[in-house]
Amino acid sequence: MKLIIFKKDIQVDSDSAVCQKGKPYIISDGFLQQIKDNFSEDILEGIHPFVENKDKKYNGQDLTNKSLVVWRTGGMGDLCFITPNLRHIKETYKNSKIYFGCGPRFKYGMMNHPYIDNLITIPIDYELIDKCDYYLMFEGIIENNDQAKTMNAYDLFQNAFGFSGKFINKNPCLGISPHHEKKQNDLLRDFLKKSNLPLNIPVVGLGLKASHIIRSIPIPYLQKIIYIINRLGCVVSLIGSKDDKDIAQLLGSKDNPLVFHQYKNSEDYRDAIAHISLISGLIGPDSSAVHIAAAFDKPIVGVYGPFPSKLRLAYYKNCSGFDINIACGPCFLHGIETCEYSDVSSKEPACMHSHNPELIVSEMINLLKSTNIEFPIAQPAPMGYQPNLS
Amino acid sequence: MTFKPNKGANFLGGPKTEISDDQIKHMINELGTVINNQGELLKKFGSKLSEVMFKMSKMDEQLQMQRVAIRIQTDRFNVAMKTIISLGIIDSDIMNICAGLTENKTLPITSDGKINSFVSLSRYNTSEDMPRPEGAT
Repeated sequence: MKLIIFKKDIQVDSDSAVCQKGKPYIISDGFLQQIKDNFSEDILEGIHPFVENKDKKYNGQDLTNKSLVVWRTGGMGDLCFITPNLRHIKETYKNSKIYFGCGPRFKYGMMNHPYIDNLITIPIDYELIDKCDYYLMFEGIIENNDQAKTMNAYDLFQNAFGFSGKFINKNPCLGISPHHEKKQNDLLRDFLKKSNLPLNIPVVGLGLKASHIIRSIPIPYLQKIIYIINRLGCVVSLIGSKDDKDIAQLLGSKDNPLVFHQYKNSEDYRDAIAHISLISGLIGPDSSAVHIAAAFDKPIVGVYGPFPSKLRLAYYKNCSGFDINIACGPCFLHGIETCEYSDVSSKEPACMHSHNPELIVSEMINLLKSTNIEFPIAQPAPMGYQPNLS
Repeated sequence: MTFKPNKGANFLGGPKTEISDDQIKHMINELGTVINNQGELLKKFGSKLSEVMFKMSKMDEQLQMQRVAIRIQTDRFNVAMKTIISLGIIDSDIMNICAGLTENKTLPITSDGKINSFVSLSRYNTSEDMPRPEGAT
């Protein structure tokens, strides 16, 4: 973590607030490197180590009539891991005030959060540390922490808040934008009507990818999952962002009347959250979609490879995780590292190629049935892609 | 899958040639025990491969072989190891790795390129009386 000062006013990202020249900002080493890469070191007047203030660092103190600034540079999933603690604070300490900081892209996912008073983007204005009673950050909590190989992510974050030993509802908590909820509802209804499908047909979300290929479900497996779900007479919703267009094209489901292309209508995380809140259940790799679905108690089937699903999913309701027992695993590769056993062209790791789409869908059906969702009579799959399921 | 050395380069000082699938299979068969026990080797020393490759790149007369090996490595690491060893390009590092091959671990990828693994299912906060899909442990 560093303290930086800019030479001039600068907006480090189109989705972030303007950083003012001469003012100190707190930034993670990774994000600082991005700034250096995207701009130039010349825009920085100074880079200094961030010295922790032990008196202000939050560790479970009483927050009644107090304020806390908390931030995390990671993705949407990481932000979900934090949310049970925000709920606990707000439900426990009267008049507590939470400032929440995250990456510019992810602020949309936290915009309607019921337990956040002020949403800010990184870099964090250092003056806020002075202004607030306490601060908390989570640098390296998963990335450089051996405990993360055995402890569930929700426990890691709860401990970081100083709440270890306390009973906290660990289900994540997110807010829905009413505008985006209506938009997504209209889009899904229009699709079902256009496809002459009943409005109560089960819609199973399918996470198109994780933030890295090492945790993503390989394309042929996504294709098989879609095929089997369609065979059961259910709709598949391809969940992702507009950036996932290339993956969706590879699936060959452009004209499939039982596939809803949610990613096309996803401007930001508000769309993804609103849509996921409307669907019947979700199948996905270790990605934000899975954790968002948990916030709405949706049936979830997580498809895991490099590390065990229990490290992320253990507290989710109505949730199952598929893991791979393989000699090279668990390797805990998570980000930019390359798997030694990856496929030459796709770079997909061997473990993610070991999954069984039939089992994955079968488990989703089990979960959906347990929530009393009615299934239509199985109907032939639409024309087009028909994978070899042998 | 066939690996072709660059045009004009000598292959281990011999005639211009290429490594075919059959040749690789032959090498794999010859290596037998070593191959069947390298699961642990790969876990321990996988990250060393680039180092080994770098050292090999310093061997002028075997430069072409090194290129071939790198191409194989990008496909399947264990096949690369087998090929390197079987072709006699073994420096002290690789010899040490081979000497450590005592534990009988299962290879993540078998010699014919199939993935050696099985799927397990964990249910979280879900009714235990649900039927378990056939095939999941």
